[in-house]
Amino acid sequence: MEARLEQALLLKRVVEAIKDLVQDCNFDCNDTGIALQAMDNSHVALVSMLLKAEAFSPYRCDRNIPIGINLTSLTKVLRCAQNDDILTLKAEDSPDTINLTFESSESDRLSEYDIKLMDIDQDHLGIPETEYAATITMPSAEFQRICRDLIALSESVSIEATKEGVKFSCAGDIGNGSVTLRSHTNVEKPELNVEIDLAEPVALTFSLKYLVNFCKASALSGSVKLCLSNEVPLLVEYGLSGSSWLRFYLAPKIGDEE
Amino acid sequence: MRKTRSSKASRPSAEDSSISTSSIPPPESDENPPKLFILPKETSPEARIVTLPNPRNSAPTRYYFCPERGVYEFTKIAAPKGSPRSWLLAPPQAQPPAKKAIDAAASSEQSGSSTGPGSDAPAETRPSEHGSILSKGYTTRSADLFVATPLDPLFLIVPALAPAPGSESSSGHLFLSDDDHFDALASTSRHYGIMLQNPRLRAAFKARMGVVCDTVDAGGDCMYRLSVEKLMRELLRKASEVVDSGLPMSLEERFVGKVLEAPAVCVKREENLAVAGPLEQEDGIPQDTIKTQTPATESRTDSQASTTSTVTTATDITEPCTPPGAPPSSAPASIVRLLRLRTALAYITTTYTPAHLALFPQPSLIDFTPLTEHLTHLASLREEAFESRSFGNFSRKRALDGDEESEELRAEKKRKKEEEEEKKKRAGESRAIKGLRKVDVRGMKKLSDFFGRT
Repeated sequence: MEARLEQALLLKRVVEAIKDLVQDCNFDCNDTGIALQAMDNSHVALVSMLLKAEAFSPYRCDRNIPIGINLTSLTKVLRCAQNDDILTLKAEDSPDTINLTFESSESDRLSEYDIKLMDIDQDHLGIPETEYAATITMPSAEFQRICRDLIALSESVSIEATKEGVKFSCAGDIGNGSVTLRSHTNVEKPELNVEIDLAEPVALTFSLKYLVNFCKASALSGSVKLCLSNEVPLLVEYGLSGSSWLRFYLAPKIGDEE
Repeated sequence: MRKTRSSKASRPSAEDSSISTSSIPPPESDENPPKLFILPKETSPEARIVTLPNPRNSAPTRYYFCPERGVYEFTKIAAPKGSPRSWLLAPPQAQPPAKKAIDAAASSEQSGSSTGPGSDAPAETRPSEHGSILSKGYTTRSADLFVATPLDPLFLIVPALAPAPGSESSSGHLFLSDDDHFDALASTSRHYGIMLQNPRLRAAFKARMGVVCDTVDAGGDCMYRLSVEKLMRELLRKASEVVDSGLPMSLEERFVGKVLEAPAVCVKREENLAVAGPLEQEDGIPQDTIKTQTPATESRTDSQASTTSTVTTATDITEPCTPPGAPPSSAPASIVRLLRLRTALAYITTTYTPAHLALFPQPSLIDFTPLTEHLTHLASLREEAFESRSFGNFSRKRALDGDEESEELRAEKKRKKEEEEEKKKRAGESRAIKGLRKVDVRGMKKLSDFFGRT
């Protein structure tokens, strides 16, 4: 397997976003690209990533190669790369190590690292394509702000999507609070648009700690998509360049509402 | 310790020894059987057993008080619980003391085996020339021996000098005259009142008080106040005396030898085994040595020989071991001495001084830091050795014994390994992941409940 990424920044941010949710995970490489799926320790949240072959230039992988790696180790090595460095991943067919080279785009600096791999036994879940009752697209910074603001008050947030808008509300020991967003179109800055696509009203409660954790991916994309249906996990999706994506799933809190 | 063997019975049971005569049916067991005492020689006829509060916990305790020779405490020497034995008390004129002791042991063996402990059977199974004398004897129920050993009056007066905090007379910080201190002492026990009329004892008390108290001269009268530092210094002097004459064997073994024992590392262990091997094969060796120790028992059977030998070891406990030739371990002599000193001091303070004083020497008096450092070093060594033992590859040995113990060891090892791995895993977690562990996930289903496994 050999994959060349024009900007190391992309992988840096992806790993940065998921390393606080899972410790070790398999990067599954095949001819379509690099995929990743992992659950947190409590198995209530799942992260799923697909970096399609188009994201790399060039990308070559002849067979399925699982690359089991400790994300803390990977982070350490990725910190050695400048954001603009050209990153090349190399692995053998049944690898013991993965090789990373960083080429400076400005100078002739070339750095090369090998990371030892590990065998990781992971459950792989089949996630079906789902029609969600509500799909909300909003600026990722906005979602991050809402989560950070509300976690000051409570551990969990109730997300209520109606045709009036989407309401994030919480109640805690010191009081309660809510943030409501309505559909909004900004012609000059389309990245600030808020779109609510509603098939039926939905109200679900989620753990804010996890949502704040997901928001670490905000740097990857200007907008985020929240997909909700009653009684199914929330999907938080960050789109990456070239139809690649980073998705988080979180189980709703059921029957434990106040 | 005075080695006079006078089998004087305690007062309440003095008449009992005459009761047991030789009759075929064993006499009823005594409600108040005689006790065997070893009392000091040449005491005055006024000597009495008195009940005084124990200086440690103020529980009433028996002491032997002689107006001329001072106060003695009783040390009980008992046979181990597992092997019942008894004393045969016989009229004194017939036998030399050594022979008598052996007979006592032998007959105790008989009473132990034939009639069992607790019965007072006359030893008539030996139709010898001494038969008549023995038949007049008395077999005690238990082989307890009470030895009166001199007690420093200092220990008796300290509780009066330092009354427990919270008690009525907690005027510990005032200078008081000796009479006041004696009054305080007399208030704790009726017997003190009588004893303190003895001028000799008063003088002895005063002299000892002078050693451990700050004194003030008030109009010809000497006033005393306990100085903990002086007391500590005095106790330290006592402790170093004990150390100089050698710690008692039991203390030496348990608190010095064991503690300083460096852990055996794997290679050493095998050497030890090799040495121990041939010894174990020749069973005769230990018994031979026993016989040379007690030549009088040679004619007897092996079982008797071994009984007498245990008797001697029982008495060994009280005898101070002569200055140990080889230090118990590789520890430097200064460390060994420090540990002995600390052991002796701890023994003295926990046995003879009031609990509320909680005495421990200031570093200015004696510095135990090298000792504590050495002990922590040993502890870490021991831990290491333990780990290397539990993780080391001893599979071949285990296969040989293959008993429960090794099974347990293996389980323990496995558990440890798992724990270690878990710990390692947790240590590698980032702060955020640790934070997620604390999230309340009640009401949240696992994702595998929503999405099927592939």
